[in-house]
Amino acid sequence: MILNFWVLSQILGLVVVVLLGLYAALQGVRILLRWQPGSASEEQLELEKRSYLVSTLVQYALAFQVLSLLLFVVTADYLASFISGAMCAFGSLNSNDYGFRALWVKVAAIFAYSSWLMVNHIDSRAEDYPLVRPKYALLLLLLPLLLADIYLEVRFYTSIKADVITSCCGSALRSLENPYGFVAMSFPGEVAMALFFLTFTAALAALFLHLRTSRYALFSGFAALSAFLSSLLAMFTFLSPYFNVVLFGLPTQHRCPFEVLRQPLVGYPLYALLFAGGVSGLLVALAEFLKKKPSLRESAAQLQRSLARLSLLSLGGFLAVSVAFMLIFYAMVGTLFYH
Amino acid sequence: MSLRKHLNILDYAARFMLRRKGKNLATLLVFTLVVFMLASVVMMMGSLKKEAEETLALAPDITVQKIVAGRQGLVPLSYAARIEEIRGVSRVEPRVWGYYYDAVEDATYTILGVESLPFAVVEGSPPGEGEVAVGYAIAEKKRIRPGDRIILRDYRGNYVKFTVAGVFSSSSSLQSADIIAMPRATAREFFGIPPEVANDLAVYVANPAELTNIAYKISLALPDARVLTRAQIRETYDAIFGWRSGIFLASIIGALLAFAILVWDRASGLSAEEKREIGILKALGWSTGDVLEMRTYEGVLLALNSYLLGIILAYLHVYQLGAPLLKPVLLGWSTLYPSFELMPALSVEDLLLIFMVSVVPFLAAVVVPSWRASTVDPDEAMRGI
Repeated sequence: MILNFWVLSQILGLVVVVLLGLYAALQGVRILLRWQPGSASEEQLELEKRSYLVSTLVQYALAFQVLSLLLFVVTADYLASFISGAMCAFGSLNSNDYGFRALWVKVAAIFAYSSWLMVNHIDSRAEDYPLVRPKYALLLLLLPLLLADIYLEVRFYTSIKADVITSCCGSALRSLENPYGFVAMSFPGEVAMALFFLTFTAALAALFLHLRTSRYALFSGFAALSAFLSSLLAMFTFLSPYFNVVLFGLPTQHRCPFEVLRQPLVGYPLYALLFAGGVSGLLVALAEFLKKKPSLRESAAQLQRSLARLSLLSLGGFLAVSVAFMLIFYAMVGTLFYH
Repeated sequence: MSLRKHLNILDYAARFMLRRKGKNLATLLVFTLVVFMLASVVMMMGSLKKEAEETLALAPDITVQKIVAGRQGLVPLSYAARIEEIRGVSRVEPRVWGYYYDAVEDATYTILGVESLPFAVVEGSPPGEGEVAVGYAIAEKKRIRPGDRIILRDYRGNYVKFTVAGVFSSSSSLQSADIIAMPRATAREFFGIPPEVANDLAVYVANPAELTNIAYKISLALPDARVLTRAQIRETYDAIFGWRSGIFLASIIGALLAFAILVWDRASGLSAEEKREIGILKALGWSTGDVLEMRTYEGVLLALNSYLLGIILAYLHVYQLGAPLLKPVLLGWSTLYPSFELMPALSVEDLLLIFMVSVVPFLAAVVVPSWRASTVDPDEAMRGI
């Protein structure tokens, strides 16, 4: 099902991102091969100019990628209306092998691009550009991710058959054959809940201590990333019903992480907080490695602090909203443990 | 790296653009047109979808047609009796309806045989024997009011006079605008449909969960019947709207490409004056990054302005004027409807979608030219080489 406005515009956007990425990679290879830090030759000057281009291109690619992730979920939700049996994004993503893979690749891509952009940002503020070679080598590693993204997404759209009946979240998440359904139904809710609160406590505490003492950066990053992952798990298991019950009055068996997006003013900010918290948390740890280079120490430390603050606020915000919904649920239902 | 610095660069970018009104205005115009086209399609698609959903809310749970030699034929009423025997069916209603071509107005109306009118009568009363009720669009077009006469040509070619008992309307204009409703017996007589058959059967099911199962049972019991559930019809509608607009987008991809090339070209062709200005900025201490940032803001400002302007124009075009430019393309059956208004239906997702196909390619097309402009050497630029 390619000939559809939503699908076509998605693919169009992705093609633009791939073109930007390929062009950036091409420039990157040239810089990687010819870079001579000490030289004042014309070519070196030209390469320095080109490094501006590459970082701009990757910035654009990241911005478009965020938009593309958003639209991907929206498109999947929209496509559900003509895939028999699918009622929301879960149903259409689950209707063939490529949907969820494409989604995870896109999520991973956002982490990867942001990391690259931070390395680039710090590096370009130093006089001697100490990280040029590793930076452009890393850029080439982003390329497969980008290609995998477009491949999986196109395969996902072409494999959608409107007449194949798929199970929607309502039934698939209850069936044990589906991997996501397996997680949703047989992963013990109490364990997911414990993991969720544990990782969040660890992440918030570590980030707070890091801001106070400038230590524990690596642990903060690890904890923030774990908090991000445990939130995803939580949205597939115990957490999403709180939102679904409060916002839509759905049964607690309905453990669909996409449902909350049907209420855009709650759903999108919620996931934005989660992603901002996860990504900036990871970057806090990454900045710690950059601090080892003498010419980068100061700017890396400065950025690390603002990232830690951002991560603390975002993860805290996500936790606060989740707990608020749990409390409203408690007020409505009279218990927190619906299992 | 304070926010103030970025704001100053943004301010400079705005003034830089305002000093070159002519050049930017042309791009703005073309860009606005692109957004306008895309947004009109998306908006029209959205409201058609909404319209279809409202229409379908009134549709029966299951529609049963009889297929004779691969074509739709009239359904014998004995079929209705057989369907009623299926457990779970609450009601079967034989429907009598057809199309009527009005040569005077050059429009096609739907004549509906009804026992009780499914629409709210805004003026007059429901039709009795020998009377009709008309949709508001027909009433407006033919300038008729309750109590007036309407003359229709029946299947034998005789002109039949009907008294208009009432004018009706509904929240969705697509579903009632072009309908002439009359008692079922009158409609049979008008179309020459014998009493033992009907056009199709409307089947109502007590429990919606059983719908698919009952539809399956009907198709087993009546092998020559085509059984359509409401969900199937809705899916088909959705697929058709998506497909039609997809064709539209596919056909203007060439135009989008041309637009991107135009933008690329315009952004690359720096005038000597612009080059000089950038050279002076760099001589005054602006870094390559600063100039690049300024050029990026230029692109973003232009894109956002055109985007907003295009959206507003499209909104006026679709919802105020009724999409005169697009209706023939996307509707296809426009001759069926004398006139109707589209209901506004625009979501954040639609706006994002339009952004993706217009602003994203534009920004991608200006990135390399902006970079090239910002890396000029100050001495070369000021000397005008």
